[in-house]
Amino acid sequence: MEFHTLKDVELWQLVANGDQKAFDHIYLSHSKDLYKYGFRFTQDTELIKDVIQDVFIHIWESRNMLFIQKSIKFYLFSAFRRDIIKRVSAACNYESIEDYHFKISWEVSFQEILEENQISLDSTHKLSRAIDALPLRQKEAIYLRYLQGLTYDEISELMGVQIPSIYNLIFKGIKSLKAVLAPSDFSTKVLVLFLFFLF
Amino acid sequence: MKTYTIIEDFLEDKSFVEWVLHSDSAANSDFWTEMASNKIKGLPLNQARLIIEELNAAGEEWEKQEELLVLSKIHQHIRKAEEPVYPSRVRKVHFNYWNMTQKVFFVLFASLLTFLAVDVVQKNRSTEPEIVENPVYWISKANPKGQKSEIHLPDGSSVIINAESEIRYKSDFGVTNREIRLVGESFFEVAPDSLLPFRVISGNITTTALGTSFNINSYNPDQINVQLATGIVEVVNDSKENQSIYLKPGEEAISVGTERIIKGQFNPKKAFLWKSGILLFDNLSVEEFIRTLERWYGVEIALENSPQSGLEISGKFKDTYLSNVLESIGYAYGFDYKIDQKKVKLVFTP
Repeated sequence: MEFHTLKDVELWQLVANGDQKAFDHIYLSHSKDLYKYGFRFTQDTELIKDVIQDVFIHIWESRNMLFIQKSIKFYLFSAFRRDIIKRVSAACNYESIEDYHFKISWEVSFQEILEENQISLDSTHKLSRAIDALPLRQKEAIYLRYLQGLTYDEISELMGVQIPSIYNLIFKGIKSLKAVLAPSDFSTKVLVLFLFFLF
Repeated sequence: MKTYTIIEDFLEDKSFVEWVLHSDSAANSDFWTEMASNKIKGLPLNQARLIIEELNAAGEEWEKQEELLVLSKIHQHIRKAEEPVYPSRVRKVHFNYWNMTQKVFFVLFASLLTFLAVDVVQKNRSTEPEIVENPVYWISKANPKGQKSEIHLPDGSSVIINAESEIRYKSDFGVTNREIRLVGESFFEVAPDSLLPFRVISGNITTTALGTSFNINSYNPDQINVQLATGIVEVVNDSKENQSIYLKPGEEAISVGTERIIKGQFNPKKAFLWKSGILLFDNLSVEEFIRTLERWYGVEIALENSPQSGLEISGKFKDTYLSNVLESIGYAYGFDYKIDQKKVKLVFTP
C-alpha cells in the first residue's frame, strides 16, 4: 500500500485496526525527526532512543483508545516531549525543569567564555554561537516552526505557552540571530554590490 | 507570486527549508538556486539558509542501522506483550507478519553488518579477520557525577543507575545471555525468564537472579553491598571457589575485600532511598559525607581547617539543593560553606 499518499487520519485508522505495516511507516517517517528533536533536551542518545521506543510501544498498545485528529507528527512530538522532559528531570532528580534549563544554559555560557579566547571567528561560527546562546524556549520554538514545520497552534499546545508568546519567542530569537548576521562584512559587501547596480 | 524580502519569508516557506536540507531532491530546487545567486534577494536567502543549516546541525543524524534496531526492539516488545493476551491461533496472521518483518530486518541488518565487516577486513585483512563471525558488541550506559538515569533493557528488565556509575552489556543481551557488568551503584528490577539467569558482575562479586529486584553498591570495591528487595538471588565471590550465599528479601550481602562475603539484615527504611531522590547520611565520616555529596551533586568539595576527629554526620534530605543541605548540616556540625559554581568549600570553625 502507498502509505505516504494517505492523510494522517486515514493512516491512523489503519493502525487503530491493527495494521503493523502502517505503524512501521509512521515510525520510519518520524523517528529521525524525533531523534534530532531529542537533542534539544539531552545529549544522551541512549535516553533519546529509549524514549522513542517507549512512545511507539505506547501508541501501539493504546491504538484503540487513541483518536488522532490533528496530525500524527504533532501527537508524536508532544508525547515524546512530555516523556523526555520527565525522564531528563528524573535523571537529575533533585532539580526542577527550570534548574535543568538553567544548568544547560549555564554550561553553554561557560563554553562561550572558552570560545571567546579564540580570536578568529567567522560568521558561521558566530551564528552557531548565537544559536547556542538563545534561550532554550526560543530555540525550541524556532526549531519546531522552521525545521519541523509545525503550526503556531501546535507549538503553543506542545510547549504549553499561549500563541502570542510563541510568536514573541520566535520573533525575539530570529531578531538576535539577525543581529549577528547583519553587521558582518557579508552584508556590507552585498550592499556595495547593490549600490553598484543602482548607478 | 510571493515576495521574499526578509529572512522570515524564506524560513516560513517549507519548500525553501526542504531545498536547504536536501538540495537535490527538493521540488523547487532550480527556483531557489537561481534566487540564491540573485544580488538583492540572495542576501536574506543566504542568511536564512545559514540559520536553517546551523539549527539542523545542532542535532546528530540517526544512523539508519540504529533506527532499524530500535524498530525491531519495538516489534519484539509488542510481540511479547501480545502473546499471552491472544492465543496463537487467533492472531496467526499477525505472527506471520511479525516473523516476516523480523526476518526482513535480520537479513537487512546481517547484510549491513557483513558489508561493514567486509569493508573492515579489506582494510586490515591480515590483522582481524574474525570480525566477520562476531557481530556482538558492548553497550554501555554511564552517568557522570550528579546524574541518575533509568533504562529499560531489551529483556524487559529495568535498571536505575546512580551517579558516577556504569553498566555494560553485550548487544545480544536477552537473546543468549543476561549478563551485566556494573561499576558504582544500581538498582535492578529483573523481568522473569526461567531460561536465562540474570547476572550482575561487580568487581569480584557475581549476583544471579531469576526475577526479582535488588540493589548493588560497588562504589567501594572492597566492600560491595547487595541488598535484596523481592525474590531470591545468589551472590557468588568469584575470587574464592564455591563461596556463595543466597539472599531472601530484607537480607544483604557485603563483601570483605576478595576474602569472603557476610550476610546480614538491612533496614528497609534506609535502603534504596537514592532512587527516590532521598539523600541519607547515616553516621558518615566527613570523608564519606564529602564523597556522597560530590557524587550526588556533581561538585568538587575542599576542606578548610580539619574537623574534630571521629565526627559522624547524620541527616536526611529529599529533592533538595546543595545549599540547603550544607546550611542545615553545617549549622548542626559547625562549619560554614562557600559555593562557587562547581567548587565548594567547607570551612570548619577552628
